[in-house]
Amino acid sequence: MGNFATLQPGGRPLVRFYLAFMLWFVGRAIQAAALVDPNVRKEFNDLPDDFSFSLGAAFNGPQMAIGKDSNGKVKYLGKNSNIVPQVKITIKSMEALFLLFTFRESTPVANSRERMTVEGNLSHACACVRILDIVQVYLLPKPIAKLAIKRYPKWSLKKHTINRLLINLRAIIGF
Amino acid sequence: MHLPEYYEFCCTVKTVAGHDVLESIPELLSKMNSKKTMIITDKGVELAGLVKIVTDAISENIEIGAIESDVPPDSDVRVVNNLSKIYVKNGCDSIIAVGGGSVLDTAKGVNIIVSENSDDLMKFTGAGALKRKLRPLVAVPTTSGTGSEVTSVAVIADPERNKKMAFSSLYLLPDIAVLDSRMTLTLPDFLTSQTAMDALTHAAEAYTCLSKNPVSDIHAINAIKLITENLLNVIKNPTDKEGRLALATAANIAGMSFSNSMVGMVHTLGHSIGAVCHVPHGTCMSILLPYGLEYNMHKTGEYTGELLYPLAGDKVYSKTPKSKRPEKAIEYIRDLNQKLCDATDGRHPVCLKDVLDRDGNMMVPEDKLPEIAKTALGDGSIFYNPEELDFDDILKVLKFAWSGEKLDRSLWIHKNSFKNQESL
Amino acid sequence: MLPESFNFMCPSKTGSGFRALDQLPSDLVAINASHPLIITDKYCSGKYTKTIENAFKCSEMTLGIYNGIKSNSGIETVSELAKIYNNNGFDSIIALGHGRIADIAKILNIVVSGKPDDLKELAGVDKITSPLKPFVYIPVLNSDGREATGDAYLDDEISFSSNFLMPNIVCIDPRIITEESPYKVINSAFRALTIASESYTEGDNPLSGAYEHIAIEFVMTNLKNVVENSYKEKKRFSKLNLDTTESKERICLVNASIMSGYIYSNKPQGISEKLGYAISKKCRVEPGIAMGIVLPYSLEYKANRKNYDLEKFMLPIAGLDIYCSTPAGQRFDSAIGQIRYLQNEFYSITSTEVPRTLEDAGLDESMLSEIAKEVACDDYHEATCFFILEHAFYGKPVLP
Ligand SMILES: [Fe+2]
Repeated sequence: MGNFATLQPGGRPLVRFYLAFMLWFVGRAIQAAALVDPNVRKEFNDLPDDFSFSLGAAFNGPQMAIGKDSNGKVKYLGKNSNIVPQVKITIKSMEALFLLFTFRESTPVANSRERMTVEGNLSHACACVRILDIVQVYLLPKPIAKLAIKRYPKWSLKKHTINRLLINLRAIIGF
Repeated sequence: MHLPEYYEFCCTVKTVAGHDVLESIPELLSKMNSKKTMIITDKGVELAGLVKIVTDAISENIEIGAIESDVPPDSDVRVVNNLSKIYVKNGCDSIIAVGGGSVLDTAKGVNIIVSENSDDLMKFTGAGALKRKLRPLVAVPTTSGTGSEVTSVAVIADPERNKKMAFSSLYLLPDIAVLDSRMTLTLPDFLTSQTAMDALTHAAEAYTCLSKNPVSDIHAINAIKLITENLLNVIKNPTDKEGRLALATAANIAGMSFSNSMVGMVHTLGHSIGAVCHVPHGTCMSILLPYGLEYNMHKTGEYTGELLYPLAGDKVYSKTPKSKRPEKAIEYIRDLNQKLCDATDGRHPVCLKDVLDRDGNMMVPEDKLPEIAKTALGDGSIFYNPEELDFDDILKVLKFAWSGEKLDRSLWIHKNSFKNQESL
Repeated sequence: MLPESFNFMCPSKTGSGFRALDQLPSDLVAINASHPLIITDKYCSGKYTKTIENAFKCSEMTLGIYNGIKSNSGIETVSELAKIYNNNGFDSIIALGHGRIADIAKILNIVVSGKPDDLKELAGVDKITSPLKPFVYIPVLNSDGREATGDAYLDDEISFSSNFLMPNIVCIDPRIITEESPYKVINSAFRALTIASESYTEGDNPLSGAYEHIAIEFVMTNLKNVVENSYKEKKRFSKLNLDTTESKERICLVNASIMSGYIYSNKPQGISEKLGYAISKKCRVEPGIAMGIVLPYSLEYKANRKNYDLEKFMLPIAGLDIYCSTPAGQRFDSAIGQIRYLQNEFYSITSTEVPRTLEDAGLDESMLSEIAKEVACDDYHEATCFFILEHAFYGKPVLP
């Protein structure tokens, strides 16, 4: 039987580490943006209380979840939350999530290439995607963000400077 | 031809089309080892005498275990559960769904329950919940528009939990779609025109939106060609069998096209007008299509321009300079709408303010537009639209569609980057 | 005008392009498979195993790989594979490569989906009545499309034909579609062109129209570039596959072949296709190349005899803009001219390795009548077949 072999493809520890870090950062940035940015705050206000959503890769890949507590406060729930998210955005493979977080494929492109699935209430999912879009504009330099979203928003100077700084700072130090 | 970096295409349905192809159903069912079938339909279809044509075509090889016609206009989980019980009780092993979207959604729901042997549909919502082939399902569409005989989704309402359950799986695709010209011969003119414009919109959006791919592109072009070559004739001669078959086929391939490449803002806005004001889907589509193409033109003008070929033919296409083709294509769609409006005595409205209910009341009052825009932000098809749409954008577009004026694209000149358009 | 009745079905899902293989693990899960056995030959396993392994990283799946397929593999290989499949609890099959590899994979699927002695009973057309195990096909550049059909040949006596043998998923990934010898590429592409063209010009089936159109257009717009590129001096980094244009052109050709497979499974064989197979048995020329030689003549014959309006044939051949700007009466001739132009180019690019005519192919003229007799059928009588062959032999157009 010299023609037969078994392959155990294994994992990608470095990629996983990078993605886990990025998800952590984006998660905390969303939490911060909900305080700083009026549009993000409004999107969250329109979502039901105790709403939560998750973003992550299939096959037990890295995950993050965001939720609203009973007071309507937006919280980053980390990777091992016990809550079943109401909206679950799953990227079909860790490779595809890596493409997304190395900005080689934008969210709309990944979606149009059927690399992600969305479960749960679709209109809530739309709000989640809009929130992610705004946060990306805060976190990324303009040339990269322009690739990641369909239309780069025309923002005031304050939004571009002070809010951006605040969100990045809060994401790092976590309040 | 545009080849995207990555694309997927899948339609596992066997489509059988022709003037007397219902007669092939028994053989097709036998091949799938079915012996006793259940016909699911609605009252309207039954009253139009269409069920009889189907049952007459079913020969001795296949037994008809039940004919159930109480499918409501919006599929309902209670009906699904009820029909499933009848399916099991009567020992059926396959379903023939005769009708439009809600009949097929209901049949898909019944098929999940009887195949998975479960009594809770809720368990099968969400991606990847179905993992194996269901029992045989044959779809016999009675309108030429939705293309739901080749789509892999179903929506079923659960009034008790006040929820709409959405199902999405390739296993929901019927095994066979039977397009028989006899099934649409009696469709009234205004329904024919609305549903055909729905199909045309599927094709045009599939061709211009983000998930376009080679297969969906050619299906779209062919569908539009079949519609423009046949629709007006059929409205004038409703018994034109050839034309009816052409429209049914167009709806079918447009359905394959959009179910693989998805639709964009015309459907985003259309679904919302439907939800808020209960305007028929096809009416919304025919009114909104020109506006959707106009709004996206700076990004997808080239593709819209290519639609001029199936809309107007090779001569007009080659005579029109490339930069003028997108506008010309949109002009042809507006023109087609106007002709359909004239041919149906105004029952095919060309702007939202002209949409009237049975008593002659305006169905879309202007003050409802903000609510419609708000609803639209929550419609999934917005993802697939080439250009971003926020609340203000949607409201502006709706106002133009309401009055029937052409979209003034200069209103967006500062917001959207019009670079691509200039190079056209 | 539409035909009285028409139908079409393609049960396969096609995924094509950038990182296609990365989607495979989740696509497998969707069809209830998580432990696939890959079937391939030494050449492909040597070249592509790493790529596949990478695509399955993080999927937590274990793969089996069997690389012992040879061009003469037969029933012993199927039995050996069946043992491996069952002893290791595999639940799905992936065929990687072309030709024989797909045949053996499909036949293995029949065996492991039922009883081992089923093979003889299920041989023939449409004898299989229920779905088999999940089956994925990963093509290479010289896949000729037969792999994606419902046909499988075991030997001269036993062959199978059923839609259930068609792959559930065809996964076309640029990392696997690497360069091949021009002769093999032309062979596969001409086969695809022939099948698609014959189907496109036979009635107006709008259901298969898209597949035919794409196969024709992809071959016509990409084949010449792919062939020319294989003669170019290789740049230093060519191994890395960085040139996306070249890679895209190859992807288009494989798309064409796969689509021709889908078309093939829905239509009776056309005359050029039949003649091509018969010719290849009589001289040293591959069937696809022979089909390509015959195609222009049989299409011209068809256009004359049946008074078919074949003007539309130019649309997929030349693309929308050129089609529309060409006056109606010139379109068919111009389309045929473009096919001939390609063939003549290949004759010179490959230094006469790819023949333009049957005479170039080294066929003995005395064989023509024998081939005509063999292929003759109701639609094409012996005399007609001979007529087409004779023209293809000398490269003499069939005038109206
Ligand atoms: Fe629609």
